[in-house]
Amino acid sequence: MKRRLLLCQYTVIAAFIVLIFAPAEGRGEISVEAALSHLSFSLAGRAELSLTVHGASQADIELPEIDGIQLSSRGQSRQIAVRNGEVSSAVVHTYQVEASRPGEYTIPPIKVSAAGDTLRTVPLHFTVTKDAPAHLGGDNQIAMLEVTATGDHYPGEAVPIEIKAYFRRDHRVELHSLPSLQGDGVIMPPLRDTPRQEEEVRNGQRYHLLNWKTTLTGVKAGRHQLFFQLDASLLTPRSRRSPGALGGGGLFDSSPFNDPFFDSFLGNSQRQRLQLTSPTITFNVIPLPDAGQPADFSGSVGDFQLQVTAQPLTVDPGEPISLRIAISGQGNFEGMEAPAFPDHPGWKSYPPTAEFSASPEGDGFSGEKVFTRAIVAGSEELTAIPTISFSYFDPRERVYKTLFSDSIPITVRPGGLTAPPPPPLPRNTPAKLQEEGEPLLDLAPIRLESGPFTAEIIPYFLQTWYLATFALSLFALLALFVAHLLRHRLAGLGRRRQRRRQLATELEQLAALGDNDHPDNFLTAAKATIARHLGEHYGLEPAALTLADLEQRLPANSPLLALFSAAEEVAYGGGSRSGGNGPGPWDRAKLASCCRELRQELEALQ
Amino acid sequence: MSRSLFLPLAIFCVLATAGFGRADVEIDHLFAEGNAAYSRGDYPGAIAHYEAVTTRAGYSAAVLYNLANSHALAGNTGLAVLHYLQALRLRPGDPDIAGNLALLRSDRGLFPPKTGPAARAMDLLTLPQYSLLALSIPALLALAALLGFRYRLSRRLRLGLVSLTLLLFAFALTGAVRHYRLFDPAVVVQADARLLISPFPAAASAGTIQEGRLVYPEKRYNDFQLVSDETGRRGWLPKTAFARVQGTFPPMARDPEDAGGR
Repeated sequence: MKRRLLLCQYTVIAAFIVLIFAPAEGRGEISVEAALSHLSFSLAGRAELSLTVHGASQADIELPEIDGIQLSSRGQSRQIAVRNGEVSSAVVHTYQVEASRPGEYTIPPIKVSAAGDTLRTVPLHFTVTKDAPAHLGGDNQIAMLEVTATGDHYPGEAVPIEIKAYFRRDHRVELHSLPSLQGDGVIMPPLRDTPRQEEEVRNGQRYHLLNWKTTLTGVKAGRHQLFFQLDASLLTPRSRRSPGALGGGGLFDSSPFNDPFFDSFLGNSQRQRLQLTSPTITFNVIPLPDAGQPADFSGSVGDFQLQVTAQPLTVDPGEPISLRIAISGQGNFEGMEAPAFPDHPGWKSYPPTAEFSASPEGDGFSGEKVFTRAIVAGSEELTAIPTISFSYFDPRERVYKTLFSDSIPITVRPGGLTAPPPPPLPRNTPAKLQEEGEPLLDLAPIRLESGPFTAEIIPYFLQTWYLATFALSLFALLALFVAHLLRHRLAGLGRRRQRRRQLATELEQLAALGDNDHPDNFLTAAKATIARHLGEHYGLEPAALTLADLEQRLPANSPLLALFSAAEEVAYGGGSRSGGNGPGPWDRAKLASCCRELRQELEALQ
Repeated sequence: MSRSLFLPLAIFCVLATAGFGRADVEIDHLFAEGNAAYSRGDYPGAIAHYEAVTTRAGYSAAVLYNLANSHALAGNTGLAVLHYLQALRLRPGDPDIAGNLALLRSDRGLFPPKTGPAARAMDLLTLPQYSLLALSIPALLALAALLGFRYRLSRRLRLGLVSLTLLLFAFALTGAVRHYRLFDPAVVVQADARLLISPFPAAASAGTIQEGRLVYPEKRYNDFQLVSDETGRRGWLPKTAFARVQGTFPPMARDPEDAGGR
């Protein structure tokens, strides 16, 4: 089984080899065809000539000599076709056609000898045109450079312009430089490497547009002729045919690397230098007027705003204040100088630092320039930062303008850095001691064990264990306090409940004594009950409670007072309240009434 | 545990232990080298070794103490004071550290400013001691409250005890706050430092400040810091002229030119 499989494989491979390499001679008539890829092309371009020989695997080709035309071989390939089981093959010979000058050309019949036959192709006519100048006139330029027009301007005035470079979309162009200004008397800031990129259609052609927004600034009066230049290369693909892996004439002749994509990818292109030049423009610089020029004018031209802030506003004498002077707007920020700090005996100012932040539009002449200047108040009598002024020339209104900041109030604390007392002189410096030959410090000896290491020096109160212990202690304290409160409250509740029970028992006993008509016993027991409950209530010893104590604490009409008084009369007066059978002051009804009042009063006390 | 896991784990443990052990040995070796240099009187050599120990292993009271001794004997008063103070942060109340610091200050004329009796009383304890006292009071109160469950104390005794502890707590807090204000000083480590009126190199001088003096940084302006010293004098010092006690170690790692050419 295995051997049979191997046999099949060998058979298929052998069939392929025969198919590829076996000449197709004798399988049909021999014929030859010639074709040009382009019948018209420019001097920078080229065409491809294909000679296809049918019915022969080998052929001798005699190329003609044509004046002004160069034919160079680009290899050969084999085409095999199977139609209705019949195999036919053809060999295609490819030549590149390049012209050295423009004109009308004809490729005469080419003589091809194959399998003993001699054949001739038909003549081919084609035209070679001149290369169109890339940057000169014409409606279909490959590339061009344009710049917006300017007019009359003042020295130092930043004039916004746009430089536009157009490149045809169907041509590959490589830039070698940024547009450069050619001319005197005018300066331009460095252009950015990343211009705005757009697409634009002009004269029916799609162009890739690179747009630089920048400014021109005149530095001296006069009419200045300016133009811009830009260096680039036009990349023209050089067509190439790579021979097949097996030397051509086989299946692998159509190499993927013959794709034009790889021509540019592999750098297989021809460069043609382009120098784009813009039309010349006139930049007229007129001098600034002398009339009305402020004394502090330092050459700023444009339209500006001034904002001044200071920080801090409360300082010690000698402490610096950061004065922030922000000038924003449009104009020549590049050479702008910081507004001068007014000359004032109480203030000392230091040289400023400057920082410019361009506006997001990226036009290069609008934004904000911030000057930060340190100033020091030398006296506590100073109450405000003086006004800052900034003068500039407005080219639109053609006048000089001066901006003033508001005076900024400040507070200078009294005291501050005062003259020091004379410093104490060190008694014994090591150098002095060494000079005198005296022994150095008699220090305690060094440690011989390094001890534990710690990553950082942190005080106790910031260490975790300290904070945790502290929090735990506080929590425990709080918890114990709450526990004490609860305990106290529970104990009070228990005592109150017990007193209530005891009062109920005693009142029952009193009621029984009243029912039995024993007023003396009733009064004695009532006194004891009053003394016990009021004593507890007032925090006094019940046995030591006297009528005077009660009179101080109870209202004069309190029934308890009357009852206690009557009981004392019985106890100490020797009188008896036994009323016998008839109605009397302490009869049964009276005792019952007293018992009710006693209950009400003492229960209310509870 | 399977044999396949046991072997790699054992190798890892051995290598890790060996690595740690090697690091410890290296630190011990550097420390011993520093001690040997100190004993020979090679104080710059001792300083270099102790600094290497601290850079690699961190802060140790003993290493900082030895480093301070070396600086003191090498004549670097400011750095000596700085490291004595750092050592005291780690081991408050250590008699050797406190004694050597006092000796050095006395020898170099770094006398503390005279203070009133109240301030002296408050200075009886240090900030760590005040911190511990403040910590102990809630703990004591909690303990007393716990004992209150077991033993009944009279109302008067309880009131007295609570008042006393609260008084102590207030004292500890006052002391801690007072000392905290001055807890993170800086030490002047430049020999010829001058307090400036303004934070600019060309500003007028407000007077010299002795190396080893304590200063208390306030606000910063670029490379200058407004400081006040123990006597209340204020002025601007370049940041290179002083080092914070709790600052990043080692302060000597700066350019020696910055540290006054030392």
